[in-house]
Amino acid sequence: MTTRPELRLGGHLAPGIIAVALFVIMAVVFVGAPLGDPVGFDDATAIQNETLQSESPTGDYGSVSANGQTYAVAYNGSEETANVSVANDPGVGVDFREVDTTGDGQSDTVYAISRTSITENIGYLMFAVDSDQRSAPGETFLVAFEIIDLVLVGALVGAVVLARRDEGGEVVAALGLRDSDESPGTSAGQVAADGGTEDGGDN
Amino acid sequence: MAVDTSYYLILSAAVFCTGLFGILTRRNALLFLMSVELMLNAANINLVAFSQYYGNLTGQVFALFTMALAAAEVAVGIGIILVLYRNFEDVDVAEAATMRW
Repeated sequence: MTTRPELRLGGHLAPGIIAVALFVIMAVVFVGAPLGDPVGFDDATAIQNETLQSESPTGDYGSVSANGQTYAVAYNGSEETANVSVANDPGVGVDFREVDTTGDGQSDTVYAISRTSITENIGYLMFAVDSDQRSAPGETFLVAFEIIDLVLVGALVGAVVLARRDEGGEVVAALGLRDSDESPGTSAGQVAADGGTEDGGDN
Repeated sequence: MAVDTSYYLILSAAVFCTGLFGILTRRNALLFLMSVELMLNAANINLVAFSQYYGNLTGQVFALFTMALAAAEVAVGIGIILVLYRNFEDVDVAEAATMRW
């Protein structure tokens, strides 16, 4: 008679089933949640300004504010858009975007968006730098950064403290200098964390 | 074309429940630590997904801090597991039933 693997059923499966059931409940809730479309970080299509042409001082470049962000207008009309360039380059992250302003399903305007990258924006927010380059909204986190800094130092100290050993009555820390002459050869010595008892440790 | 937010939430729920599954079913302390990390990273996915949903970078910056916190937690966690292994010659979490031994 051959043996074959069998599924061992029983009460010990309950915790795992609870976890799977929780996932099923969460998935059902998330699928049915009325979330709508995400806003995202690129809302160039939000511009609906019909008088853009007259705002362009050089004929092919200007700026327009919409939804709290400033966009450079590079080009208007129905001409070729392949060679659009910005006369007054505003700096990093110039991006050309075709926008449908009339709502007829066809792109009729090209904007040059002076868009700072998300990573750069994160840097500005994390260190609370008040910069004109910042384009995405968010809160500043300088205080949290300093607190996390202290937490990481605490974790480092905690790890070093936990790593020390008691070797022949002498505490040997991971960062301590070790004199090779005094090492008695008991490599598996007492552990500091067990209180130095005789029956504890891995000896 | 942006991915719908609910897909991120389902991914996050899957990762979270994988971590929960590990915590509920395993006794190895190292696997415990990995499972806790999975649950933390599920929260990170949610933070970034809602950051994109609202067009606000706060969630992404906060996710970075959560990662730093997770790193600190792992440093201390692995230290504790090392001491556990030295004293019990095992990393079974059911062995260490008291705070002192």
